[in-house]
Amino acid sequence: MLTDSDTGFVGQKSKGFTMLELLISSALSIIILVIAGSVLIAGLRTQEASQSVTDAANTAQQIVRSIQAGVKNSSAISVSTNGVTGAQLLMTRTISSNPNSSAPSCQDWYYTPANGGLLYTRRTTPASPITLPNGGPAGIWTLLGSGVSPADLATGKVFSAPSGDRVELKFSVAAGSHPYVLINTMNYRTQSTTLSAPCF
Amino acid sequence: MFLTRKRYIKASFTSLYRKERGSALLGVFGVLGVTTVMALTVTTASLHALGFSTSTRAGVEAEAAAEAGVDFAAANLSNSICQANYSSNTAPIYSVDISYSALQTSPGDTDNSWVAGCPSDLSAKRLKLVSTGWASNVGVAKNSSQDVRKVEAIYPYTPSPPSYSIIPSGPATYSYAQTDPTINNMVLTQGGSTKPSIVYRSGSATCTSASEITGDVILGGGGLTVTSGCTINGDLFTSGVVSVQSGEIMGNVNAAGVQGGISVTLATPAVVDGSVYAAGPVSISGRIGGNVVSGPVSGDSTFSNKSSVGGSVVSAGTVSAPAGVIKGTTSINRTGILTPAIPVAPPWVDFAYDPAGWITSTGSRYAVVTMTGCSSSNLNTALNTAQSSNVPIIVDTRICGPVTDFSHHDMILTSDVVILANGFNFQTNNIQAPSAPDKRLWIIIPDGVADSAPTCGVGSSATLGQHVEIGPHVNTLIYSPCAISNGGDHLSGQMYASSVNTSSEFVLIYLPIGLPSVNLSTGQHLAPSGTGVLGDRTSIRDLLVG
Repeated sequence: MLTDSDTGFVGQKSKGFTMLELLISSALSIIILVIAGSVLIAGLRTQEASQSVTDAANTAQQIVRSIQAGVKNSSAISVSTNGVTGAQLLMTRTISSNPNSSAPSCQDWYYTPANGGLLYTRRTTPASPITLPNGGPAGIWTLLGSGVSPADLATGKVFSAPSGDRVELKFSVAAGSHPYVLINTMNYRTQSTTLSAPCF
Repeated sequence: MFLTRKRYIKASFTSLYRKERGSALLGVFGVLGVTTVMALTVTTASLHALGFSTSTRAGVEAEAAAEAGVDFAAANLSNSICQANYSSNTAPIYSVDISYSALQTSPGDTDNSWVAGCPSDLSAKRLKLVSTGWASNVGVAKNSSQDVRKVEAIYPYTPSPPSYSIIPSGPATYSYAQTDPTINNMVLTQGGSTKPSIVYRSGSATCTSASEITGDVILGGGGLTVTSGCTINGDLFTSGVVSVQSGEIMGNVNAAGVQGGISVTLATPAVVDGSVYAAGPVSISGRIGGNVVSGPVSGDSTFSNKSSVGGSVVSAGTVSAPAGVIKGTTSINRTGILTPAIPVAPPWVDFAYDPAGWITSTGSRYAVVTMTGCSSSNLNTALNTAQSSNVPIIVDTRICGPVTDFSHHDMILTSDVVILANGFNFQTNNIQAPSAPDKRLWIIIPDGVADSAPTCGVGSSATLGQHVEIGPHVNTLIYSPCAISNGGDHLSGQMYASSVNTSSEFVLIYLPIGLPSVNLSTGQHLAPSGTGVLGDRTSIRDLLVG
């Protein structure tokens, strides 16, 4: 155990801080706090940006993957657009990816500009026509992503199927206050025969 | 001294501790904690995004690899022997498994007719290629779901027959280089379901009296002159010019040559029941049932007042015709007229003798009788053995020198027979079979020089003298790299030779016989066993991996 004689403080007195010392220490503390605060705020902003952009990128890629998988095995593609609301329905008749069955399914993707731009999907197996519920797809269809908007402002379309054998995707996904994630890609169907029944 | 130093250090630490009585340290810890949380959050999000992106990249790579595997396998299946598996260990990395089905189409959503591996017989109707592709750059941070992709492709498939198959093929008479142009007193008729034809790869022909040819005449390197009494009951194709003095061509005349400013000449009373397609001007005094197209070589096409054209006339040049001769319209100075297309006369097939190539439909080899001497007795014994054989048999008479003399040897065949000789002389022969089914007889002078041209041995010749009767119930193919001298015979089958003399009375009932391993209609050897013809892809889809 240490004693005062060990520490060498025997006989010393505490005389307190002078005003100058307090001023200097306060100034230093403020500087340190400002620097630390700046670092924290920058970090928080970076964190928020990183989170937003990665979320948007993941959403965009998830949408692309879903459409890619459906369109690749499809035997027919069609897109209908509501000229008033800007909503779009991408319809496909697609073949099963089960190695032991080539049973067809119907799979649709629905885009609505409402609520910041939502994109849903729905699949019916065995194949049967898919209709949009009167109250909208929310809660019934599977939501793939939000914050979706057409990237081609000239056409205002997310999907287009110009020749019936491919789907062009041009959309962006909002990433908060940060630059949006842009998707511009094309997916071809590979089935040689065209058959849309009974899906559309 | 050591103890004193230790105490001093201890005291110094204690003093420092006692001096830190403010909140600075706590602040540092707080900032450290917050930044740590932020760093962890950002790192986690970044890793997640990286994993997602690399997974997407891996999916694209794996998909491309799988599709590359399908294309690679399909390309190989089209031109080489089928393999049960095709794989690549370098990018693109794939493995393709082959299976086949004997069903032409899928019976429904579930098709259990697939058999793994390559087709083992000719029953296969479809091939299925299941290609597994692997990404070269896999997904990171445990995102491996897209590293592997599977693609299934289905193709119609027609397996090639065994390479030793004998495909009934080839024209009624094929001449590689016709030396004697005369077709005289020749009657060619159709004995089966295949339309006959006379094909000269090069050389011209003159068809004269009492010749009646059922089928097409194709002169790949010559022209045709038709005189009285010659009837061609088919189409005529010549690379040279056509002159019909009399006689009748019941099909179309296609002449790609122009000589002396004229492509086709029809004298009175020549008749062409079809149309005339000429590369240049025509001179017509006969009757044409169809149209006349003359061009692209321009010039004046003339129609005499004895001529008649049932259709219209289209010419790259001018047309001189009395009124009423041309029933249809007349169009002159027309551009864009193409030279009439002449079917390709196939190249010569060098057919060497290989006993292993003569296989029955059950897979057993033909029996072989090889003569060891060439006396008349030896030949009699060999031919008697052949005609009494119950299995297909080969009689090799090549020991007899440049020419084997088969004169006055009659045969009654009980099985298919192959006669080999360096050259032959048939005269006064009657070769027949007692009843159906018909037997096949091959008379072959082998051509072992693979130069796509007939090679006739020194001193060899091929003679069909008078009174050679082959049939009924025997169909023969005569293969001869030597020119065949024909003295007036009657046979059913076909002749494939360097040149075929047809200046004497000759009756040929066409029945395609063919030779092992070759297609005489195309001049090509058959594809090796295990190959096949892959049709257009009927289906391709991604499969679940698992």
